[in-house]
Amino acid sequence: MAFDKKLLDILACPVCKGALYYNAQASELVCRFDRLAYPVRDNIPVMLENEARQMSSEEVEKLKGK
Amino acid sequence: MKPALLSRQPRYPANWEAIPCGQATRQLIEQTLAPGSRHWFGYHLVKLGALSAALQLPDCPIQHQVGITLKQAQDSLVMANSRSLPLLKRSIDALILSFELDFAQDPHQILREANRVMMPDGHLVIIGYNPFSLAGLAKYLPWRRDSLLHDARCFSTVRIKDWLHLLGFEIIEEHGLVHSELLFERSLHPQSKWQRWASRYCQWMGSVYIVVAKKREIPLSPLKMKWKPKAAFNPAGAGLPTSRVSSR
Repeated sequence: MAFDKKLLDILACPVCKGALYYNAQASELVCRFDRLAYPVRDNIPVMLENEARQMSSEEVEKLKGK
Repeated sequence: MKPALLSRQPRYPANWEAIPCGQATRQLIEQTLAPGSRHWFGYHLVKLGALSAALQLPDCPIQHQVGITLKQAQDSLVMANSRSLPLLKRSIDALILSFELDFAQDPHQILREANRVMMPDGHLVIIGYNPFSLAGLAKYLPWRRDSLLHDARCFSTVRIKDWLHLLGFEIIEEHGLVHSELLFERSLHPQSKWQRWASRYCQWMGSVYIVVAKKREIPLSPLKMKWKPKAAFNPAGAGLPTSRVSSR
């Protein structure tokens, strides 16, 4: 079972409730505002703040160009 | 009345087997919800919690059904905390909370989040234990301390409806099921004479209640003003008739 793309229409950051960017290469859902990357494990997005990876500002800047 | 916010987290059922007569209760709930679920329309249906995620609604026309649980479960599509839902504002057309408020530390926050993520005219289903029932009384008996029934918050339907009215929901359906004390885990026979009689005449004392509500919102429609502001000065020349000029 692949990651359900329809989820991208409704998923938001649990912290700021803002829209997310799906980084398919790293298999992560990124919140640019909070600089948090939520992992997608076994095609299930783990939308928990304590499981998210803190991103550096350079990483976020790189994603902005995409 | 006890406050809704608890200082400690109550035990949470991981699946339907964890609550008394779980599988029989699940089947009864599915049967009860089936006719009403045919009228739920939209794009996304969210089943919040481990118990809700396991509910099957094949008659519901909403194709995209998402189970959101805190821990990984069989029917889960997203892992998240129900107190801070990872969903956009006004994105969900139907939401099911099966015993989610009963085993929650802060049920008000869950309802606030539910109200935020739901579309206007969306359907909200709340399933819980009724305090004014045999199970609601059996909860206070000192036996079987390991049963999760002792940890259930048991909010009355009156209280649930009050919260929903405050958030602007309209109650459209209400059901009472499972007329049993549930503590001693006798097998449940929904077709028995007692169950059929009680579900017909004493629905209000069913151990499990289902409340279906619809989110109502009054849309803001701008009206045209009856009066128009009159300009104090008209610019000279701009308002002059041009017919005199063209006749020469």
